[in-house]
Amino acid sequence: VLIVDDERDIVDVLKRGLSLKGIDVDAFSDPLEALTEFKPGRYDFVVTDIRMPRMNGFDLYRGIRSQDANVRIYLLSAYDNLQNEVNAMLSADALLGFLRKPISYSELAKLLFSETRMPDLADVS
Amino acid sequence: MFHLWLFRRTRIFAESLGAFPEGMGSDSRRIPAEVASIRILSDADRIRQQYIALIRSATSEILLVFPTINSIHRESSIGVLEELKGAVKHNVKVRVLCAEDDFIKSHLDELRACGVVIRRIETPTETKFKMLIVDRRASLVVETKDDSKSKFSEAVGLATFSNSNATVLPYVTIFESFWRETELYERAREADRVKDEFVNIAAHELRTPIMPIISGAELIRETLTSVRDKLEPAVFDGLIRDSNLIIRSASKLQKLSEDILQVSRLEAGTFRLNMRMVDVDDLVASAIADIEKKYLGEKTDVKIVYAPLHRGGPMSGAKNGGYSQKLEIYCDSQKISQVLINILDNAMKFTRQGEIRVTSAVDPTGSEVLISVRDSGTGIDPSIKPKLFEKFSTNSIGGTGLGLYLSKRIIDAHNGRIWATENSGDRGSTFTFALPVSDYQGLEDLGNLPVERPAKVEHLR
Repeated sequence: VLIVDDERDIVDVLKRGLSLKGIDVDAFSDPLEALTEFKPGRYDFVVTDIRMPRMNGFDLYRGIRSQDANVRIYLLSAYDNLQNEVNAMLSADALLGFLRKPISYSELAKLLFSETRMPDLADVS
Repeated sequence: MFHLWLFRRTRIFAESLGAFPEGMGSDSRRIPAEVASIRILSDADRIRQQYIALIRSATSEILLVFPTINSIHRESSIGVLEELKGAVKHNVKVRVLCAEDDFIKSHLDELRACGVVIRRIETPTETKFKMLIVDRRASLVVETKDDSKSKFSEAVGLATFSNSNATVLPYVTIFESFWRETELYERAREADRVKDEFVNIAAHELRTPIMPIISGAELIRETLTSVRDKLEPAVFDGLIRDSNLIIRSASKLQKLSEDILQVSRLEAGTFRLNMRMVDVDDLVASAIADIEKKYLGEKTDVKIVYAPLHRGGPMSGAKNGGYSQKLEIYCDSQKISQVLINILDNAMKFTRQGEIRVTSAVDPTGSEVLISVRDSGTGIDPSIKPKLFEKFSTNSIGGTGLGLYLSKRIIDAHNGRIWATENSGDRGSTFTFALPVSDYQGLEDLGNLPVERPAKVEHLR
């Protein structure tokens, strides 16, 4: 999982929490750095905040999606007033989701596990 | 044409009005009292002439009310807006009160660019009168006979012209009080905007720190569990208790901040419903599951039972196999679910042991879907009963006092009803909400519901 949020405390707690659940995490508090370091195929999931300095989550999403068509991306925000913009994007991309802050690392881990289970089953059959 | 001459002397003056603007020139403030006149004009063409002439005669001030959007269009076509621009060029102060919408905005912006001060009138003058006051010495008030007409001559009714203080000054007072009113509305709008912005920022600022608090405490708890063997049991138990306390309190803070934000949104009018067709059984089942999860390990003597009466009888568990009829309501599922969870949560809080019974039904006329929660708890405290659905009327420990208030506002927004009754005979109370099925897409499908439906509903009450 790639986690991007300008709030260092959130990045830190999610990284340590998800690691504890056995998930490999790369985390950045600078979206530009995250995009520069991004490697297609490396991640199953990207979880990114929306409102960030230097580059917002929408642009980061577009930057990542243009390189990797298969990674599942979650936009994470505590703002409600972005809902219309988010809804329009959600309907255009089946591999895009929205998560409202606050979300605990255990809730996030549960969600990510439930998402990965399906492709695993598909692989087996 | 009908003219009313009030004074003999006025006639002389009034006739000179035909030769406007000379008749009402710059020395008009010194019109002797005996030539003051009040006239009623009925001829549209004459009203138009008088109107234009009066604007041209202005030397210091024009006060004007456009009663409707259409009136601005009409009067633009007879040259009123151009006349106003001309007046501003001659250093006449022009203030306009008018309705405003996107279609008229360009006209008004042109006027504004020239220096006309325009304010949006919030209280439409119900009589749709148009009012022009020039230099606080003459007024023309025109009745709008038919606002749907596009031609000035067809839209206007009677008009009164006056240069008598007895009528002009009261009109000035009316104008000024409308003007002040718009100021207040503008301030209120600005305050709303600031409040909206505050709510959005507050939402962000409150939610952001809650996230690391909860996750941080969870991390501590999980780490502790992994090193349990290395700790004294008493120390371990104490630390676990403390991290649980942090998680619990932060969750409460989260709930409180969400509630306050919702109340702010409701009161700022920025509350939106995301309506869609929702299966009632699914809605109830997921609300029950949420509550059961919340009280996992607690309240073991309280059992929640769901009886979908619209299917013709109670069932155990969330899904049943007997009846295939689905009952759907058109609503914001997240918000209605919030209402149901809130009612269920209250029922849990006030019930020590026994059954909490959720029922769903269609009312006998088929116009409403009723969902009710009947508990066997302590009942409603008489002291808070009259203001049960008001803000901060709580008697529960750990409650925010906003739950039922929000529930009522959410149900109101759905054009529904919510009420509470004391159970007769046994203990406890029943909370019921009803949502209209008026927007129900397959209204005719309701006819296929089990026939015993009405009888069951009676039982429900």
